[in-house]
Amino acid sequence: MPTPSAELVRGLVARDPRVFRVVYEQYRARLYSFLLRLTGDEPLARDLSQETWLRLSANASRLLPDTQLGAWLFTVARNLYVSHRRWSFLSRARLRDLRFWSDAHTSPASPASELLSAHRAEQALSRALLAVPTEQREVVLLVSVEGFSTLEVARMLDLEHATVRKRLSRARAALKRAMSTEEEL
Amino acid sequence: MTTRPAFDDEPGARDPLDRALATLSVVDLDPLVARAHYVAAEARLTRTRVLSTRYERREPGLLLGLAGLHLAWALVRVFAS
Repeated sequence: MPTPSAELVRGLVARDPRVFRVVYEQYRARLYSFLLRLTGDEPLARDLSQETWLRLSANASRLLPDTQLGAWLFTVARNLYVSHRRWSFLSRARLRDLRFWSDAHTSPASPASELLSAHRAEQALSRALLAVPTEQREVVLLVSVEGFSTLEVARMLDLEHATVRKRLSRARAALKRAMSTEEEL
Repeated sequence: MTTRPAFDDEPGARDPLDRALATLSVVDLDPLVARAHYVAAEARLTRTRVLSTRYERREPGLLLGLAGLHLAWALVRVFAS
């Protein structure tokens, strides 16, 4: 049975390595899976996962007693990805301006969907997830895969509740369309 | 007249899409990578703790030293006048 979040937070604030290990074991795979599905890029997911854990160890003593650890970790991981995208977009835009980059360089389908599952149906769903716009994908991953409520996700992503619901609705519609196309093929 | 919800967004256990999403496999890091990440993060945690403990230990000494200097300076001024 997982240790309650408040107890773990107390241990982390005291910088207890045993508690850090428990948290790492409890969230490592979930966090990495989330990043893998969010980024569709294995090395990037690995790097962002490591950075998230380093952020936790650096900020452990500053955690508030009512911190929801799961929400904290997933928010940091997501924000790191947003930040990465911003920087990579800027550098790509600069390269394009300097005519060193053309959109033909963009890699097509990512192999992450195959890494995510050996089952055909799951692979199809993972591919469909990667085709959904990032803003919608992060919401559907947090709500439907990770089990956060739409209200929690609104707080985590600093969005209006209605915006989260709208993105979730659109993502689910897109996934349903993609899955029915897969079935027809 | 029935009222429709604003968005079709409430994940339901009976919906095959929600069932499929909720049961997606959890993928773990390669054990060696996971270990390396853990060691790096734990080292940062422990290093911060050591530095913090040292700082806390030095802090009272530093305050006493400053207080001593102030006292000495006050005594010098008293005797000089």
